[in-house]
Amino acid sequence: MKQFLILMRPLWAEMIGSLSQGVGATRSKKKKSGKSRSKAATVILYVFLFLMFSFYSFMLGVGLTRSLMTFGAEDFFIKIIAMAAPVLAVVFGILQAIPTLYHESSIESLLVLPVKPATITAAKLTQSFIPIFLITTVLCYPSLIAHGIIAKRPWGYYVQSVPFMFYVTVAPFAITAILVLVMMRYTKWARNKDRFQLIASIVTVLMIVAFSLFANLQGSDGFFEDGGIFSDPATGMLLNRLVKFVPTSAFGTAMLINANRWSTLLYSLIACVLNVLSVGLLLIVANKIYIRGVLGVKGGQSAKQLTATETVKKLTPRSAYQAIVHKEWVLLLRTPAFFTQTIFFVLFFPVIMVVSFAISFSRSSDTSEAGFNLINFLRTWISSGGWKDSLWIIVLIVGGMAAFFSGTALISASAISRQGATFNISKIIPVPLRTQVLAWLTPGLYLMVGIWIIITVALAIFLHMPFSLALLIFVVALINSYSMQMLGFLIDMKSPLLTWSNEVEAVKNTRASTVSSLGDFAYIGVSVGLAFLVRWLTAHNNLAVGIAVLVFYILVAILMTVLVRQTARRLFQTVEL
Amino acid sequence: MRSVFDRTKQITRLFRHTDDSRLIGHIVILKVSKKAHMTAGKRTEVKHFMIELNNVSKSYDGKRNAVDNVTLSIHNGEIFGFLGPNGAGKTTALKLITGLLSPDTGSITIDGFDIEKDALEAKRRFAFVPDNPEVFTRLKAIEYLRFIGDVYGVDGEVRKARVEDLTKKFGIADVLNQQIKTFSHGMQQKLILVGALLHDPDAWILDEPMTGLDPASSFTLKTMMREHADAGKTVLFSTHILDVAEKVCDRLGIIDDGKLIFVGTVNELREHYQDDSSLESLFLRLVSDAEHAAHGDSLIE
Repeated sequence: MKQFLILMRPLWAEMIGSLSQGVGATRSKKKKSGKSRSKAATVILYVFLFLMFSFYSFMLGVGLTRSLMTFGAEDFFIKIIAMAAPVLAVVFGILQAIPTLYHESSIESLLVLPVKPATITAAKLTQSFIPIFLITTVLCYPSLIAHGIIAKRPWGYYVQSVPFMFYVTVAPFAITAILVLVMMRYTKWARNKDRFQLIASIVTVLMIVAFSLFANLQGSDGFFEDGGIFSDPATGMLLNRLVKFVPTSAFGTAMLINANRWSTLLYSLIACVLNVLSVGLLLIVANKIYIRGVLGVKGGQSAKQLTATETVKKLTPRSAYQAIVHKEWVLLLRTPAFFTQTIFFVLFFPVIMVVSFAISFSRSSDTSEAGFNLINFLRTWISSGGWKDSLWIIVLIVGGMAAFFSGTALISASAISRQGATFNISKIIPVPLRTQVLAWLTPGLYLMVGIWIIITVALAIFLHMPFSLALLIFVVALINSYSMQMLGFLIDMKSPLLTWSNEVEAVKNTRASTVSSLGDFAYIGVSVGLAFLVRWLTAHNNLAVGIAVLVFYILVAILMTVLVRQTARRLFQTVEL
Repeated sequence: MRSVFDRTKQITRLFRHTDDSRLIGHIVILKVSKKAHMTAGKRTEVKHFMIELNNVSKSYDGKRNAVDNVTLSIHNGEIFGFLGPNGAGKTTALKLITGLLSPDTGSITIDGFDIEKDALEAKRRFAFVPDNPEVFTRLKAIEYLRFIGDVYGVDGEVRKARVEDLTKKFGIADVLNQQIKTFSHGMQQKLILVGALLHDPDAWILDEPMTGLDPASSFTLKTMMREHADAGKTVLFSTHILDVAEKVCDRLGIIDDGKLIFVGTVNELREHYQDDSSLESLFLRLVSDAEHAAHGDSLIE
C-alpha cells in the first residue's frame, strides 16, 4: 500500500500537470509573475467549467424530473442516470485507458523501479480511472441531487447517492479495462496501439450512436415487461431490462428508488459485491497480462522495402506549402488521438445528427396524434417562400450550428499544440511564416468547407430547397466556421501546449480547445442578442435583422483574420521551447 | 588545492600569450588571429566569419543568464567545438544561433545574415541537429526526407542522389519505408542527420551529434565533418566527449555558467597551462578556475 501511494504521487502530478499545462499554466519559463497569473487563470477556468457543467447537470435534473413527475414516472430519471454513467465510463474508459495504460511516458520509468508489478498495475489503473470518475460525477451527480430535491426523496437517497456514483462507474470501467488489456495482450491487430486506439474509438462512438438511434426508434411498448428479478410493479419493468446489460446500474437504481426502505441496503450490498468482483477480476487479469502487454507494444514493425523507382517517386518535389499541408494531413490521419478528436468528430457528428433528426422527425409524423409532420411543414414553408420572411432566423440557426460544430472540431485550434516539440522544425525551416500559417489552417478550413457542402446538399435535397436558400445556408455556415476556426487558432498561437506527454493532451487539454468550445456559446449568445436588439430597434424589420446579423458575422470573420495575422507575425519570437 | 594566487598567475600568463585578448567579467577569452589558423596540421585560408555572435545574452527567468554576453566568431572552413559542463549553456547558445530562441541582447549572424532580421536567408545557410531527435514520428522516413527536401527546395535529381548516398552512409537505406516512431534513438538521430545534410548547407550546427550513434556512424559523421570543413564550410557542434573534441575540432569554445571562458585551439590551452596533459584535465582545470572566479575569488582585479 505504501509503495502504491508513493507511485500515485508522480502519477497524480502527471495528471494534474497535464491539465494545468493544457490551459497554459506552465507555459512560460520567462516570468514568474506571468506563471502565477496563469495558475490563477487555470484555477478560475476549472472552477468555471466545473460550475458550468454542474449547472447544466442540475438544470437537466430539475427539468427532466418535473417532466417525468407529470407522468408519475420520476424513478425513470434515476435509471437514465444509471445508464448514462456507465456509457460515459465506457466511452472515456476506452479513450482514456488506452493512452494512459500504454502510451504514457511514465510507464517505462515505472517498470524499472524496484516495485512489485502488481503495484504498478494498480497505480496505472487508478490513474486512468480517476479522471473518468471525476468527469462522470460532474456530469451526473448534480442531476441526482436536483432530482432528489424536486422529487422530495428521503435523506437516505442523498446518502446512498454517493456510493451509487461509484457503483455505476467502477464496474463498467473495470470491464472495459479488462477488454482493453486482453486485446492489447493477445490480439495481433491491437499490438499496433495506433491502429487499436483508432478502431476502438471509432467503434465505441459508432456503437453509442447506434445505441442512441436504437433507443430513439424504440416504441414506448418496449418499456413494459413483466417478470424478472425486480417484482415491484412501479420500477420492475424498468430494471429487469437494465439488469441484463448493466447489473450494477440496475441494483444501484433499485438502491436509490428504495432509499426509504430497508431493501436499499440489500441492493447496495449486491451492487457493492458486483463492483468488488469486477475490480478483483480486473486486478487479477491486469496482474497477469498488463506488464507483458505493455512490453509487447514496444516491439518494432517491419515494412516493405522501397525499390529504386518507388524511392524516386516518393521523393518527387513539391512546394513548401504542399509539403507542410501533406505533413499535417498525414499526422492528423495517422495519429489516433488527433484523428478521433478532430477529423472523425467533425465528419461524423454533423452527419449523424442530421440522420438522427431526420429519423426523429419522420417518426414524429407517424406517432403524433395531431398528425403534425415537421418535414412536410418545412418543405411547405420553403416552397411557399415563407422562409424569406424569416431570413434572420435561418441566419441565426445556421450561424449558431456552424459555430458550434466548428468550435468543437479543434483542427485549427490544435494546429500549433499538435506540433509539440517538432514546433522547432517549423521555426528552423526557411519557409515564410505566412506560408506555414496558411498550411496549418488548411486542413481545418478544407474540412469545414467539405462538411458544409455535404450538409447543405443533404438539406437542399431533403427539404427541396431553392438554390438561393442553399447558397445562403452554405455561405453563412462557412463564414461562421471560418471565424471559429480562426478563433481557436488564434488562442492556440497565443497559448500553445508544446510539451505534452500523450497526444490527447495536445488536442483536448489546450487553452484553445477550452476557449474554442466555450467561445462558440458566447458568440452564439451575442449574435442572438444582437438580432433581438436590431429587431426591437427596427420595429420587427426581419430583413434588417437578417442583414445586421450577417454583417456581424462578416465583421467577426474580418476581425479574426486581422488578429491572426498580427499574432502570427510574432509567433516565432513569442513561442519558445 | 591551488591558491588564488597561483590561479591569478596562470590567467595572467594566458593573457600575455594571446595576440588579441579581451576580458569578460573576470574571465579571459582568447581570440585567434583572423588571418589564419591551424587545423590539425592543415592551414585553411579564412575568408569571412560564417557565424558571429555579438554580446549575446539570454535569460529564461529574468534573473540568471543562461548565455551571458557571449561574443564569438566562427570561420569558414573550421570545425568549432562547444564544450562545457551540463547546464553550462551550450544548447541554449546553439538554439540562439539557430533562431530557436531569441536573444535578450546582442545579435547573431549566419553568413552575414541576421538570424532575427533576415531569418529566412540565414536559415537557408545552415542545418541544425538537436540533442534530442525531435521529428514527426508518424511520418515514414522517406516522407520526412521528402518534406525536408521540399521546404529547402532541393532539386529532384540532387535530392535522389543525396538521399541514396547519405542513407547508405548511415545505414538506414533499408528502413526508409518505415514510420519513424519504430526507429531507435540512434536511428532517429541518423535520419535527422541525413535530413539536415540533404540540402548541403554551408554551416552544420550539431548539438551532441554523436549521442546514440553506433561507432561506424560516429566515424562516418566525423569524416564528413572534416570533409565539410576542408571544403571551406563550417561545422559548429557541442559535445561532452572531450576525446572527440580534441581529435576533430580546429578550435574550441568552453562555456560555463553561460559565459564563454575560453576560445582557442587545444594547443593554446596547453600552452596557457604549460601542461601537456589531456584536454580532459585541462578542461577540468579551466572550469574549476571559472567556478572559483564566479564565486567571488577575483582572479584579475
